[in-house]
Amino acid sequence: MRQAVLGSAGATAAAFGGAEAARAAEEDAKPITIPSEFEQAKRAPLEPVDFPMSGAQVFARACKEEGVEALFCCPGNYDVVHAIANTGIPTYSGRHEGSLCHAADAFCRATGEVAATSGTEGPGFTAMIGAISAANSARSPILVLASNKTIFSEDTEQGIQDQYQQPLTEGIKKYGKRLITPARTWEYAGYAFRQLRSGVPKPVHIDFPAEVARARFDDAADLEFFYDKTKYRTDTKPYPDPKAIDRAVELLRDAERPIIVSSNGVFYSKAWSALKRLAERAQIPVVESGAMKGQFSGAHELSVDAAPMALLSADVVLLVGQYCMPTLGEFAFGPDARYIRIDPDAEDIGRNLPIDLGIVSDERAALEALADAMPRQKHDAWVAEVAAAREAFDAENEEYYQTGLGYTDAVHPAVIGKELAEFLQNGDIPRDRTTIMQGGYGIARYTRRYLRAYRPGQIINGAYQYGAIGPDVGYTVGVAAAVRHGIGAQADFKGHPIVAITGDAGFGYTAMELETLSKYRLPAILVVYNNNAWGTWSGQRNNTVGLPVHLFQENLRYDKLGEALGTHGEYVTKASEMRPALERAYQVALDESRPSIINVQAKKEFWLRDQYPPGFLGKIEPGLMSYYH
Amino acid sequence: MGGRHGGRSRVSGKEGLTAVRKRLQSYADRGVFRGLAEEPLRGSRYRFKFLWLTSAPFTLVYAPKSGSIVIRDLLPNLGPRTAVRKGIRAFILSRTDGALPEHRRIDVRCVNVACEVRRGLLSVKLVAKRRDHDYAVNRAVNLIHEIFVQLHTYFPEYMWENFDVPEE
Repeated sequence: MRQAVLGSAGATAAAFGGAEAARAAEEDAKPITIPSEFEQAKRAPLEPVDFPMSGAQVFARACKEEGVEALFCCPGNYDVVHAIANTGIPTYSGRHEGSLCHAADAFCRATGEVAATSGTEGPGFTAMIGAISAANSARSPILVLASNKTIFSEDTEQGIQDQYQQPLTEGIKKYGKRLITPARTWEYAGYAFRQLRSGVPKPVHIDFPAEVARARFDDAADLEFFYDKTKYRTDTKPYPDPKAIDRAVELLRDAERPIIVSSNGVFYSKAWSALKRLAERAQIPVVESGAMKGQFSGAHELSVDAAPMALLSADVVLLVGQYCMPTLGEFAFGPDARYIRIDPDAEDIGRNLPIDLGIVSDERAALEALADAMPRQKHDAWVAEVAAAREAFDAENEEYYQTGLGYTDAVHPAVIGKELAEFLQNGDIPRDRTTIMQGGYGIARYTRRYLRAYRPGQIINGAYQYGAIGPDVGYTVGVAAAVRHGIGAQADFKGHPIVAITGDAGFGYTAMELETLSKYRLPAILVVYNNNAWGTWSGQRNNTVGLPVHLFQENLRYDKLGEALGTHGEYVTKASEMRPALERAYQVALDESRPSIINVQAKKEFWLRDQYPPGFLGKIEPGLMSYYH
Repeated sequence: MGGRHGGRSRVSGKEGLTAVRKRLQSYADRGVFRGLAEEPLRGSRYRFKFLWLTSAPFTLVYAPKSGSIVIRDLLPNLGPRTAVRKGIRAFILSRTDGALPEHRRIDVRCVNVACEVRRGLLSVKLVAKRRDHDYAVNRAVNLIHEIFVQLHTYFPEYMWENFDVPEE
């Protein structure tokens, strides 16, 4: 447009003068700063939350007493958001309610603890729907809060944003309630936390009309059921039937090639020590699945995570806390394998995958009982088979890397995966230190192969089950906050930089949360695989008319976008630049506690197997490559 | 796997059919197959149809006299000179490799294995030697499973295009 106005001579002059003018403008520009209010807020004393209280404060006090570890929100639902923030629960606000709801989901997946998320009535709430769905599929215990006008004006469309919320979360929550009786606010907090703290976790959705949020309670007599959480719920867990444990011991003892699948339930019940004890006692290999990885170290000789072709040999499979059940054929176990399933939810046992034995139990209780009851056993031949499969997988990945290095006009995804692993897990940084948000679509099929989880919560499986490709920057906010505060499974890794991986298509959905990362000085390094296209393009490459639907402009500078929003930026166009860029970004994270974006220039044609082998990769589940279940 | 390497005597047609029927029924009883149906064909052959890894049924034709088990039209649209056709043929034939663990191998002392592609449709044939019909049908079912794992791993586009597997 500018060229058309200036004409060709003017355009030439502008081109010569433009660079200098741009440089001068950049020098004159005011630096990006964080308002002083952020520091003031950190230093401000917290007032005790006690009577007289508003309805919002009553609910906030319940959140504090129940151990809600963080709140992710956008402005809106002010009474509740401010009341929660004023209890001292770390509160993060961002640019889009959906992204912040994703952040809450990732926070749960990284820590094993409950996080809240909030949006305003109407559009703020509906912006969260996709993220609630993703959290529901991942079985994350997020507490979804939203304001909802007044009961008085219900149905009138007075003002704006009138809406019934609860029907919209039907099918994507464990429990939901529109609060309508102010005096029952504490009681309904109890309903919410009974659901969040027991059984199989899923989102809980509470909406607050103004009459509830702004109600005033002078003392406890104004509230119904105002008593301690030990009176409205229990922390005891269901224990396994001893006969079922005996039968499981028989099945495992008689197996030649038993395997344990460790999933979400092992993480949320913090059962990793019991899992290790059982595996080592009976020499049973372990493979992971689910929304997070690391309950069983990838370095252990019994880990099958990186030995996918061994999965087909298992003859007895012990599924522990596998909340999202595959159908037959979605896991690689063969037709002769028999299944034992441990799950706290009796109603789900036997769904999809036929069982030989079901055990209703808390995962940790069942694993402890099994570890106590199992005789010591040796499965040396089976462990050797796993080791051989692992070696073959490593060799295949090395071959992909070497092939990728040979493509010199762009950076191949195998190079990104290998360089990340070498820097984060095979170099000077302790391999269990860095928490990784493993997102993306096509790129994930490579990076998953190279990165390992060595401790609980080390890898967050981004696209798990719901398959949304856009949440990744939102997830990064949640994971970075979890590590900053050292919550739950991240306690020993407090304050360390984190790394996130995404693709250019997914990046587009939540990219503005780079500003959120930057304003809170969260030391996250976001690697963007920039292949100029949606991951779907290769399936449409012969569709001349429809193909542009799947394409972007080429060589976009996402690093510059990051710089404009306050992050450090790197642009990588050659394989040899990847490692130095990672090192610089990591140093920025350490020195300035500032996020970085590494824009890695690839090309879409890498997905074509006939032109650029190995092309787009498939997957085997469970294990490193799994993300559906 | 009764009868494996089981001497020189051949199994009778009735014994073979009983063994194959029992083995397939055991998969149905355990819920591995979502449904199993049997019908006799001309030439003393039997067709078994079962629902398992895909929405369309698998077809296995068993001839007791010859001990042959044909998994008919297992894979569609395998065009000539395509990587998937070449890759899957090579994979099937590699299943007799002595370097594979015994429980993953097709033992050529018991079973011969071959495959053919006609009009783009791949069929797999296993022929039991002597008394190894039960072993042969077990290997046939496991081979189907291994082929599908191979396709999911190395040829995801083929699975999207032919078996409605999600592209994402």
